[in-house]
Amino acid sequence: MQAAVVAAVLLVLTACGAPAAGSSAERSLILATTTSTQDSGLLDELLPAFTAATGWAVKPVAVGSGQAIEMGRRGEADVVLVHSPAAEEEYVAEGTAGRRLLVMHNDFVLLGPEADPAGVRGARVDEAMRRIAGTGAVFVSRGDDSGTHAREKSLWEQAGVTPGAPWYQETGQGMGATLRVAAEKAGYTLSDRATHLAQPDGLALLVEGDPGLLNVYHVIEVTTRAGERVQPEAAAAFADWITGPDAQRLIGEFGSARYGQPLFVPDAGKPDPTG
Amino acid sequence: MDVLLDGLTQALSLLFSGDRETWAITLLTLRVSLAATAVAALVGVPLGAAIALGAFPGRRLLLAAANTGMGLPPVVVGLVVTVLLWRSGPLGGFGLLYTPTAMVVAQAVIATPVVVALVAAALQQVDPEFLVQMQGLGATRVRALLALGAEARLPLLAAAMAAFGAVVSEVGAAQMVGGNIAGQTRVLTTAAVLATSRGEFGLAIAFGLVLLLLAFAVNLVVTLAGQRPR
Amino acid sequence: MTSRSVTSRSVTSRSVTSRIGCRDLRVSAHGRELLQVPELDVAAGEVLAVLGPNGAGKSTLLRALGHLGGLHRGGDVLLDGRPAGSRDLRSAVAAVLQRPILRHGTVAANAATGLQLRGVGRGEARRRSAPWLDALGVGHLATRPARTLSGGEAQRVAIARALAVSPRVLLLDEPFAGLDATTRADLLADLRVVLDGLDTATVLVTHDRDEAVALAGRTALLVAGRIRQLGATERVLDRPVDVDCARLVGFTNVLPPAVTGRPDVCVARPEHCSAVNGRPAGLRIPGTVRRVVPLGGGTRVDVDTAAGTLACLAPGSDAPPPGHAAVVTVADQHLRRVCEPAR
Repeated sequence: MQAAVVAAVLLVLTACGAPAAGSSAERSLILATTTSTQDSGLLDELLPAFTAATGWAVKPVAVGSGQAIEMGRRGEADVVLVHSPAAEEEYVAEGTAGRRLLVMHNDFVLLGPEADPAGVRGARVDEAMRRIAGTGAVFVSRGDDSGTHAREKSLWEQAGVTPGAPWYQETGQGMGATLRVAAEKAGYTLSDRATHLAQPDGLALLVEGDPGLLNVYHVIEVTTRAGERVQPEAAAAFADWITGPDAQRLIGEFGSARYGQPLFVPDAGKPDPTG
Repeated sequence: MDVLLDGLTQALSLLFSGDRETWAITLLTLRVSLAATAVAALVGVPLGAAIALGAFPGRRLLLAAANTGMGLPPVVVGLVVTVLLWRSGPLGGFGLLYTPTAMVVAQAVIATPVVVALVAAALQQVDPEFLVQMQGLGATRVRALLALGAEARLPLLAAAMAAFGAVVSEVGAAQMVGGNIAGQTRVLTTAAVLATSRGEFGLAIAFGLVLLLLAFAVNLVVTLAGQRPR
Repeated sequence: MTSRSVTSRSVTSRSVTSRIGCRDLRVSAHGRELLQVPELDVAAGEVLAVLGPNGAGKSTLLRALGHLGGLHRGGDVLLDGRPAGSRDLRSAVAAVLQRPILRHGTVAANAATGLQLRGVGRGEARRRSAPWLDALGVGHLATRPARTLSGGEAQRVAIARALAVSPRVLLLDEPFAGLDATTRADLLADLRVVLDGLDTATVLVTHDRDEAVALAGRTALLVAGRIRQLGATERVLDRPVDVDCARLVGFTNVLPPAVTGRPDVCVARPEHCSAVNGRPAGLRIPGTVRRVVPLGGGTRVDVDTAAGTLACLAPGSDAPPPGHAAVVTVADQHLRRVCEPAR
């Protein structure tokens, strides 16, 4: 009896204390971004520096590029950092977004089993895609409407192939999970270089350096036209900061110490390769 | 197998080296899940008691609903709560999305049917005349109810533990309404998912083991407190 | 209703010493009236038995008197002749229900429950309740877990628990119903001794008239939510006022005027009826033997007559065979005249 009362009191006390843990007095913004920026660890590097520099705390929500853009479209985020140029342009064309600025790039790579049954090693990417389809070798797709998935679909289109079952398989999961599925199934897959470097997956790097494999990240400001609770000043602060010298330096250095090469190339102010 | 061993060593070193982030995540997990359990108990115990002891229309419908609700997928709860808390949603004005409070709300929704169904079951095990008998010995209505609670103490504690277990181990709602934001809403389950997607399997296992230890510690405390008076 | 005015007069004269009672007590559920008792009074030190068939509202009456459970109640419950609220009744009343509802824990802890619920400290409650366990013959079980007791032992503990609070009113809701005959007889005797030494007003609800005889000075017959008859137990059991009451107290053979040729309906107990020819004459009703059931030490003969099937219970195995003609005879001194069934 007494024990039950004590337990109840403890529970209630804990309940009262809990909300205090999350409510920070500082201003915070919501950043809708892609899993690749989170899974690679880049956000962990950038966001504390941004908060220190501007006083804005950040709530990063890491989802696929498609969902991130959708959050911007609905005004559920203040700023968007994604790598899906075609979808971005469509979103900006709708007129509710603010500035769209080039931030950085890395590149996609085509990975596959060391044995390379389709013989794509060193080929051009559109030729490689055709050979995979032609031999019916397993190809594992993200299938999650992410930037990587969008790029993969446009590569099939350029190669003139309509992928389908049984050799074409979709995981519906993030990059890391998809890499592991591809490795287990000895299949091919398209990945961003950063995730491939960050995760030892046992897949061989077969095609790289093709202009069609460039992976470009933009920051897009969300405006109050998308929703009345959007904070435009937060969006501007983030967009200005991530394209500014400090952030660009951090981006350029990120990954060198761990992987021997940077994972991203800072691009702010350069001409936009995606037009 | 190496991954599992690696996870075990990492878990031990994270805990005993006093890794601040791990402790912060563990503490947040504890607070969020206990708070959600407490809210679920505040709502669910009276409701479960009413179902067990009352005679009102829709009583059995409610019980069936609660029993069904025990199987509610956390992701669906998370999605619904997210939509409600969206800036454009009906509760958007509170700015609760991606805060621990939002996680408490979502997890309380998950835990409430568990509490309702198990409290109802616990109280229905006691003789239906129990309250009348206690009144017939001079108990006020409140004292009679307290005596009933004491009589069904163990199954009631089991209900609380089941609710706590349901929320502390779920990831779908925590991920969706919390956003897994480092230092703010990252709990053990979402941290484990993130570690997995980063390929840090050892770390993911470590978080899983910490979660297990946490749940064990809570259950041990509750069990000891509940069993002592004999 | 002349019987009611008679009752009411006698009750008014009694109400000076009434410990527990009621005026115009009504209980309804779902719009249906379950109980309607214009007046009832039980004096301090008295045991009143309320006898009735299943579903007559006996438990309802008991609960209404104690304000127990969530009944839809109307009218007044009187304590010492004055209308009493739930709070007054809570401190005055202790109840024993049909099932001995004991809590987890030892027998001693259970016996102390009532006192503890009334705010007495644990040690004090145990000290004060211990003698009652002895009085009910279960003192030696004090340290046993209550869940390990037999039905009779558990009911003794439940009664000790109720008596431990020194109730001014004791409500007993068929507490002996679940017990075997020997256990019940022992417990009835023990309880009688205990109650005789107390100043408690006791209401015993039961469907068994042996219990009424064993414990109660007065008996009320409750049929369909109404008290049909109230008086000294021997008289009520021997002089039923109507057919329902007659059936209730064992006069199950009902003989209408058309069969007997007498002006009133007559009733008789089966043990006073005989189907064996040559018995002393009284009332004679011809019929046909339907069946013969040998019972331990006696024989039951069912005879189809113009009054329906009449049961005759006699010692020995003497009986005409089924299908044969027989005459049911009842001595005049065993016949009781009653009112028509109140339908």
